[in-house]
Amino acid sequence: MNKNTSADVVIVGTGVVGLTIAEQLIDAGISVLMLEAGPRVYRNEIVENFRNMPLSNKGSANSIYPPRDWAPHPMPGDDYLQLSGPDSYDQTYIRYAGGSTWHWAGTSWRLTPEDMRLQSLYGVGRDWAFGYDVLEPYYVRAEHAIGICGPSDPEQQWPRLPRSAPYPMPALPLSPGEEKFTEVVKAQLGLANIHVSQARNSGMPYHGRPACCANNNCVPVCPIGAKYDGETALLRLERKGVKILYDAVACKIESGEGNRITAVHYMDPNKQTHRVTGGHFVAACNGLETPKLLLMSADERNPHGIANNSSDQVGRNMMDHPQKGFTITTTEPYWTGAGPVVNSGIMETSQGDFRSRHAGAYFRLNNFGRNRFVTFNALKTGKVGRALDEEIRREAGCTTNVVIAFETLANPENRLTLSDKKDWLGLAKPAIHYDVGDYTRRSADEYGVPLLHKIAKAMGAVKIQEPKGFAQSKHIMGGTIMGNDASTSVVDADCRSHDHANLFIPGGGAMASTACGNSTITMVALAIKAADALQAQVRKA
Amino acid sequence: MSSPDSFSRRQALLGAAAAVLTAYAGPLQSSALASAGTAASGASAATSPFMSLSQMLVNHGLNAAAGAKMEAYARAQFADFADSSAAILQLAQERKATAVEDFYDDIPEGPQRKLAQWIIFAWYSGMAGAGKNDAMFTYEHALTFQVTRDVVPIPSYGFTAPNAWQQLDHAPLQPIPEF
Repeated sequence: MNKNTSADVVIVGTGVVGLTIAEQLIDAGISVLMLEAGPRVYRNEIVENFRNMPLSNKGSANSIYPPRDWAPHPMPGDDYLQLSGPDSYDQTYIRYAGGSTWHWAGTSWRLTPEDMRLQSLYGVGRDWAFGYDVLEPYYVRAEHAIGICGPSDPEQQWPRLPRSAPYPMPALPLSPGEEKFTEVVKAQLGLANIHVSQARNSGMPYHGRPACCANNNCVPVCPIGAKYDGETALLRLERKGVKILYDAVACKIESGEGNRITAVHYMDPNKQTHRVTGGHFVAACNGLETPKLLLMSADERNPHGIANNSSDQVGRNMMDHPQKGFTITTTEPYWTGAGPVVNSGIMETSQGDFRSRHAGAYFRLNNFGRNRFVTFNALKTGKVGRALDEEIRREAGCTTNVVIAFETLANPENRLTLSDKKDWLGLAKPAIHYDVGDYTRRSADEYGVPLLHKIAKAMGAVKIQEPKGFAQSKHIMGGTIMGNDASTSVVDADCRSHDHANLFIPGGGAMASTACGNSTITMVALAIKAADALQAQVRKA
Repeated sequence: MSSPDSFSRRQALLGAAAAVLTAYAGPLQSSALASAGTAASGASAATSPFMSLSQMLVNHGLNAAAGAKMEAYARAQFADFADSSAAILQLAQERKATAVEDFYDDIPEGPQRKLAQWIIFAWYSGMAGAGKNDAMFTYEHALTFQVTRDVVPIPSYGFTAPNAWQQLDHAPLQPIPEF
């Protein structure tokens, strides 16, 4: 077997899902070949990109990741994503080796049992194919696989339920601003602002990564690798001998006899097409790129796209955590900026019987240092000398960013299709129609925004700047949705395609509900569950 | 913020600036510059005139490498750079300024005020402008980060040992760190 063209398992995508599965398989002695559309880059290059980025652009999550011609990803102001609908599904992701782990915050909230039973409990959305009790051990494995720190105090944990094992590392300390925020929302509103469980090393090295040293730059890049990102995992996998083809843009999944997947075709930067074969396949190349690839791969057996014969649900149910970020000005300083950029949150507001009427909401005080956001405003005042110093210090200390993140429901009309617009390689651009829906809008109007104003008042707000509409959280979910019924879902409880026994499609696309917390830990838990099934299936074959 | 030390430093810088500015200020400014130079004959002749001007407009220690980039940019972008620089320095000298507050309000509107504002902007932001494509002179030495150096790290540069930021107090707005 030529390891450049064939393997027991071919994995498309080197983000957190693909890397997690690849490592488990290679450790089990199963050969793996990975395809990555983007380039292999190294941390020093990305960190220098950040430091050389103009101050006015340092708040951008993706500007330090210029896309290669052959592997475009959304950039500010471009039209790679062809967007339509009442709301803009204006996501950010990175088509580099390591994927969007480069610029994720590391936030790792688990789902709750209720989050997975929306239809049964509240009559909205979808239930998952299994319950929290099934997922819990996989959460523990995910926490150890990517190094997630978290509190040992059950009152500080999310959800507040028994765990089958502790976090591998203790919680990270809060910044002065987070401490103060925690105190005021508890004292005045009875709300618990708890430690985020996060894929970041707390007080110790873990998996070849150093301890977090408060560089406050998790987004857009951790400069020291204390946060889990693909680069550290790639180095480890490369040492273990996983074959990874970089700059290899998957463009077609090929089906064969019995509708089994037989090969993946990819294009190189010279626009030449190649073919790799395997016994089993994993499509894990991003919540938008994966359904795009499946739809692009339509053939005579699968006229609506790979994995789409039975349900016509590929590309549908696109979800996210629509968010609203408020800038709150106080007279006394809060001082965000010491420690990770997201380090605590109010999660209990995501739960309740109100979910039969409107979405839950999660509130967080962002812990970004504020200088990058306030310096130009301070300079606009025309102040000089000591007055200017005082203005900058006041704005940095006394302005904060408090974000509400909402859940959304699976809606088949929120749909990714293939645009007639083409990218550099001649492949279809993704087109996404999106509406956050009345369930989420009601939450904002009746619940989230009013509660935000109470929080702001508790903080001592003298000014509240409210955004128009919703921004996107870049938590791409739903496009290859999971379920037990092949007629209404794309993958089964192991993220295996209902239509192709040897194709697995794990990740955020499989999630049947979003809840309010960031999706990555659930994606990794699903990846490990899929890897177990895949491993057993390969052995049996 | 001014101290006896900074006073003498500023006077010396003013003199140095006057001496060096003769190289590009032209004959119209020669009288003022000569006067300023006489006042501080002990200053280093190697001091950059742009840095001297900057020291009058910004009450803090400044990074020479960043200043060199700013000066090159200013020379190219401000047609009246030499004249305006000399005029601002002359004004500062006339006011016996030890800090920017001592003379800034008297800088006349027009090219001189525009240049002075830009120099302050550049030192605090490290940038030529607020646009996403504007020239960048420095990140690490942008003064905005120095103003909060006791409680906020420069993003991507840590300032504590592992988990040691829990020892930070709720810093007051005053005093502002010396830098």
